[in-house]
Amino acid sequence: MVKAQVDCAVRQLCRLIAEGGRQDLTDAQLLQRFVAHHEEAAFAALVERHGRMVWGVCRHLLRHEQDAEDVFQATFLLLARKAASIRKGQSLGSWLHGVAYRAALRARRDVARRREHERKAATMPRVKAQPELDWREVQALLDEEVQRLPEKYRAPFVLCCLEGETLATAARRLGWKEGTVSGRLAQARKQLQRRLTRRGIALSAALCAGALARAAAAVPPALVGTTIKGALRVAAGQSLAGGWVSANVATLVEGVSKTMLRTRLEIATALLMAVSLAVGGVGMLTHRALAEKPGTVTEGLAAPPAPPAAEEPPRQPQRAGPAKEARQGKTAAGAVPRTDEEPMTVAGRVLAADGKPLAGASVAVLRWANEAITPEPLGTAKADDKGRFAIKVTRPSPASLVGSMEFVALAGLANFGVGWCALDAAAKQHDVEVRLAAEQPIRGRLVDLEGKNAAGVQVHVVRVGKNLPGKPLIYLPVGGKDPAAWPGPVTTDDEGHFTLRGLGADLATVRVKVKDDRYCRLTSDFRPREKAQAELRLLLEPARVLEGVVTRADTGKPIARARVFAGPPVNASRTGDYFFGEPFEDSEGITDEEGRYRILLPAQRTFWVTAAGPASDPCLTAITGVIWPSGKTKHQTDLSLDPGVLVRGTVTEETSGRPVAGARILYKPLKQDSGQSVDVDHARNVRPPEFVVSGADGSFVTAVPEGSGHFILTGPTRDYIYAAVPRSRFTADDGFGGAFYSPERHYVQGYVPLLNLAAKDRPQEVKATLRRGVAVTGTVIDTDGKPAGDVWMTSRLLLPPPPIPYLQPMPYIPQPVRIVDGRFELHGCDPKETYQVFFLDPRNKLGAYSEISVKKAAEMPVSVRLAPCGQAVLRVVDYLDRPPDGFRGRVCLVVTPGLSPSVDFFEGQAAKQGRGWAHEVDLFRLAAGVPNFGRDDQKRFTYRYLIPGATYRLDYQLGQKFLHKDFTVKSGELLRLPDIILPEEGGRP
Amino acid sequence: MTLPNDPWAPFEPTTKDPWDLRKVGHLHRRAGFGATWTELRRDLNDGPEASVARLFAPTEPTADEREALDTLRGALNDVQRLKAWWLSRIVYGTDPLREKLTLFWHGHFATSIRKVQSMPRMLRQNETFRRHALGEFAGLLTDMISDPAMLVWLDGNANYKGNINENFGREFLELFTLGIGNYGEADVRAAARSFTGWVEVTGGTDGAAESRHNPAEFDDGEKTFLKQRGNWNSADMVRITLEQPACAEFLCRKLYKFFVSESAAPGDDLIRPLAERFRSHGYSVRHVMGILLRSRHFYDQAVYRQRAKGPVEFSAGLVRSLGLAHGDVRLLALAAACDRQRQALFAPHNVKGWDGGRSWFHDSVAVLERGNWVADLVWGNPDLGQQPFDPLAWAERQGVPGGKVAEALLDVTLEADLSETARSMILDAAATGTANGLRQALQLALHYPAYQLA
Repeated sequence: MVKAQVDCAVRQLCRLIAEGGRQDLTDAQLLQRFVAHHEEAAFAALVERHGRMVWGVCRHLLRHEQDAEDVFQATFLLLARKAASIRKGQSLGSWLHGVAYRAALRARRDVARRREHERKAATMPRVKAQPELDWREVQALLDEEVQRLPEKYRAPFVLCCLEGETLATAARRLGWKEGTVSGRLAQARKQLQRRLTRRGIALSAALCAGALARAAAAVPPALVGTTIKGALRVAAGQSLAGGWVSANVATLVEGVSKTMLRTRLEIATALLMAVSLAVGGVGMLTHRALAEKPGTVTEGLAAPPAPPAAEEPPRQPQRAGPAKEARQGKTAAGAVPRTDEEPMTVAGRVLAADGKPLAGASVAVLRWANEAITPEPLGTAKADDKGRFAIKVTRPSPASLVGSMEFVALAGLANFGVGWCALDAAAKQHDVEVRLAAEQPIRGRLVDLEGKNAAGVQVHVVRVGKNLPGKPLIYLPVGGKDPAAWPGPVTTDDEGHFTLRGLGADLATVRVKVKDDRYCRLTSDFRPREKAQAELRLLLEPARVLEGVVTRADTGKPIARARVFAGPPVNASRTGDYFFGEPFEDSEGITDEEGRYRILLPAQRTFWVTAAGPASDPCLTAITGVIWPSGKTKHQTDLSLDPGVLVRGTVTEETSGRPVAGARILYKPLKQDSGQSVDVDHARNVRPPEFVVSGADGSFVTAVPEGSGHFILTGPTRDYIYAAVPRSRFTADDGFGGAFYSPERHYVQGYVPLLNLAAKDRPQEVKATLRRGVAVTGTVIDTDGKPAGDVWMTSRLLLPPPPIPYLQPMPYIPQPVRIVDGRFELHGCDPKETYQVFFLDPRNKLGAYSEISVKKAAEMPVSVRLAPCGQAVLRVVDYLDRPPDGFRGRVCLVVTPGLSPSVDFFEGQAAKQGRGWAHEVDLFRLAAGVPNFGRDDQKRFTYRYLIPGATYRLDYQLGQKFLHKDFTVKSGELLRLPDIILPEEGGRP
Repeated sequence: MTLPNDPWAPFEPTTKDPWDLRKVGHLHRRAGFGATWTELRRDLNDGPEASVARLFAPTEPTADEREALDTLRGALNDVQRLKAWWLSRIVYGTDPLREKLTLFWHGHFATSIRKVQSMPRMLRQNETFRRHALGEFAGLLTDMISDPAMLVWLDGNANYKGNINENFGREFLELFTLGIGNYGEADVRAAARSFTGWVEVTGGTDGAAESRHNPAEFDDGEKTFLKQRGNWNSADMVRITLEQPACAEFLCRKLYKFFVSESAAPGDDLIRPLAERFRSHGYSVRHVMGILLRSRHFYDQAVYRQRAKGPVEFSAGLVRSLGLAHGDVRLLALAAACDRQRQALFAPHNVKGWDGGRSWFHDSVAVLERGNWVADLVWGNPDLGQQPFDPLAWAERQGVPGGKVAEALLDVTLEADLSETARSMILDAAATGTANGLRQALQLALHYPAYQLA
């Protein structure tokens, strides 16, 4: 039945296109036909006309195709629903762009929440950003700016630039004169150009007709069919709740539909979306900044790296994950016991694809901390005659600040492709099998732009990816010192030829990198299968060298050992602050005694350059934009660093007074006009150093901009108590805007409240303390009294460490932690407090809620007994007892009581002082991906695996109201929640 | 069948008017981008017929050269690289006549990336010019009607049944085929109607530029074009237009200006006989260029150095005539130098292309930049990654006898055709025989006014 309808729609579409007849009709005429006669072909023509643009918007904002498809469908279903009410004379392209944009933002927020869980669940494979992300980010920004254009400019821009129509066609569609279209289009481009330039993006080429339309990918044909079919159902008055669209699509349609209706809500939602955009954007940036930096490789576990010498340039946060910083700190301190790592054994066998053991294979265990893209090799071994190996390494202990951690065992052998298998980060013992596919040598050639063969150039394999059945692509990037198991670099011969070994035909993607000072850095991705016959040919451009002198702005004297690096201008937040793309790989230089630096850049036209003073001579970090002069291979840019206000400080433990080494100290200046925290002072193009780490005696020195700001401190481990600090101690803003996730309290281990600093002859002195908490250990036992096997635990003690830069709006969502042997540890506990801790074993449907008094725990071992979970059933109907059309509800576990971030925001409660947001954890997240929510029929929802005694919160919308309802279930109970009856106008917005 | 005083009769060397270095240099500057010292010697030795014939039968590039060029073509991610790709063909290619004609057609069908905004479209157009460079004009003209870059440039894609856009139709007649005065307004309209239906197709898997004819948008009504009535389409436009003697004359005048002389407009007595042969040979460019480059008139003293070198001829020509090897010149720097001298490839000033002639020297910055390029190439420029020119290594490569290096440099730059004062000044500079002395001499020679002329 469905198939027949799709076929029919596609047939009609084909006919329509073949006839070309309806191309003459305006959008309004087509819409009118659809409204009046439910004419499928008319709707199909509209999808054909605008689908590519809408698809583009979806793809720019959403990384996953499935999410993009949902938004695409939702957008056109909304069109079907609103067809009759679209204003005459309004440009449909522009309308659809707006709807798609809003729906995509909404979906992105939902997705971010959902994906967060999936990602953090330790066994889930990594989902990496797709390679075209940069361009996509730019496109997303463009979409955003397009939305800010006045309608009269937006309409022609969408038609001509996003949909690739000619001026004449646009004129016909809009019913304007061609001159008018071209004039307004020019205006639109001008405005966009100005705005985008302000955001650091030069897009002149993309702003021209057709460029973006060309860049847009085709809409998947099946999606077109489904969408048209759906539109007809909507037109026929069918409810979205009928199960014929996915819940996500239905939710989106309802969500966006509502924001279109209500002005007050519109503002709130826009704000919400703005925030979520900022969060998404910055999160991604920070993530990637942390990620792409090479050089976190250490020599092995036995010798932890030495603490930074006083004269060393300041360490960039990207250079090392928090775990490593913490280790360095402790090594320096000596006095503080080391608690952040514990041993782990990885044993197993290396086998050929046919199961034969591979003697002599090289094996390495690698780990990624906190989503870094560059892994750390932890230990290596060689397989014995039976292909067996065993490697002792370490994994982070519960006291570690490391948020997420992934491990793989990697194996390689001559004449075989590299192979690997993922390790369960929670387990201390591993017995694994790594299979190696047959090798497929890849031949390639490097030529330079002048047509010369590039001889003697090293080609490195830096990433490989595999398509595993039922799992997404896995990337295994390696940089710096590669373990023996990894395919080694090769050098080109006199004719520029090279052959890559150690890659199997089973790989889906390989990334190679050319790193040679004579040429611009080059990375290239290819599919080994496609290169089995053809040669891989790469073009090298002459190196681009940026040179200059770094001086102090006050004395004009050169600064030695300043760190200079460059990166692309990419991003901006809604608050008007610029953010910078991650630095280019390998584009880092240190100034010599005369303050001179020299860095190599990729073949890019515009970028920013940053210079940061050395730790011994703290200065504000200077930033400057550079446009590379065409044809040049060398360019000069000098930077002068503002000394700012010199601040000296110490970090000590509160009661003992002992110095704390290895604490991270971040400074956040306030924007003078708005009182909001910012990263970069754009008036002066400076920023404070990104963070400093306290030395062995707990001291630190840094420079900060004049004016207001505050320090935030994070200890080297979780052993320090997270305190809830009222937001008013830090900022002077209204607690709205950028602070959506945390208007009232911040969770930090230490801080120095709002300061107002002016440059003086003497350095300013600050003192900061961290309060050392105690550790609580305990056991979780199952119903038989045995240690529970596989349990997820969460608590507000498990908040993630503050990101860098920390004050980007961040969701304070506790991280679920996996327990495999029944023993759990909680660190940084306040001895006076009682903590609510939640345990769930979703596979065995067991759970426990425990209020752990730290004082009591010190006297008596804590033991938590799991009990069978409860369930809750919710019935939702509309006012005529029919299945609800677009009910939007969500249930989450309340980890800390408080306001509901997703409900109270809309009800204006955020302004109420003294009440903080609750810490909520999504049901799905806690259950580590085990489906725990379902729709029984069209009216009944069941929430499964609820922890007995824990508070759950149902957020939902009733008509125009956003509500929440808290409930608890007893062990084994099936709780019937009171029915929700949607009011008349809510049933059909 | 040539008349005794036919200016297009082949040049025959005589003792009074011999085949000399000046003529060899002239041929290479006009038909290509200059010749190396070795090539000049060879052609001086081989005589005019062999020299011209060689231009029409170039050697094939080596597999290595082709591969290098293909690699660059496959990595065209910005317009400077696109320019570098073409300049690479101009500087190192084995078929300079074809490249020179490609540059001619680029100026004739002047299309700019500033409006077209697509490298695949510009690349495709450039390759179309190159493919048809020496072919029959009808083929090139036909391809230009549906060329994706041209469809954007002159709004062909906004020209459809019921909404006639005359931009392409007008330029087709005014700039591409007949010239002003040989058609009326009604013809423009009829042409524009006949060209309807061509649309530039966006997308494509590899981003290649394409176009297609959409019959639904084609105006198939009756039109009267150049006094002929019928339901004409674009093929008819090409056919009817090429039937006009004015078309051949118009094109021959443009070829004359580009290849023979800019200083005086040729009279009908010169152009008509050439145009007749062009038309009677199916508008074969190869044929007309063969006549032109072999003719008495082409080697006449009256047309010698009667063209201003354009920036590409000047800058790339210098590289080519010095016979620099791959890697000795930075192609991106060369592209930027041409830009600064006001000849940005793929971005002609307007629909009429580059004005040429004296206009190159109207902009004092552009003139200064010619000097800068000479200095960069002769003395090197670390900011461009450009090594200094090595005159001694050059002399060895070219087989110049020892002690004759300065003279050879004068041969290759000015065919030794300069005033005695200038000559002795330059040779004085090189008297030491050191690399720097020779560089100084070369720089002086390149600043000699005649070097600005082709």
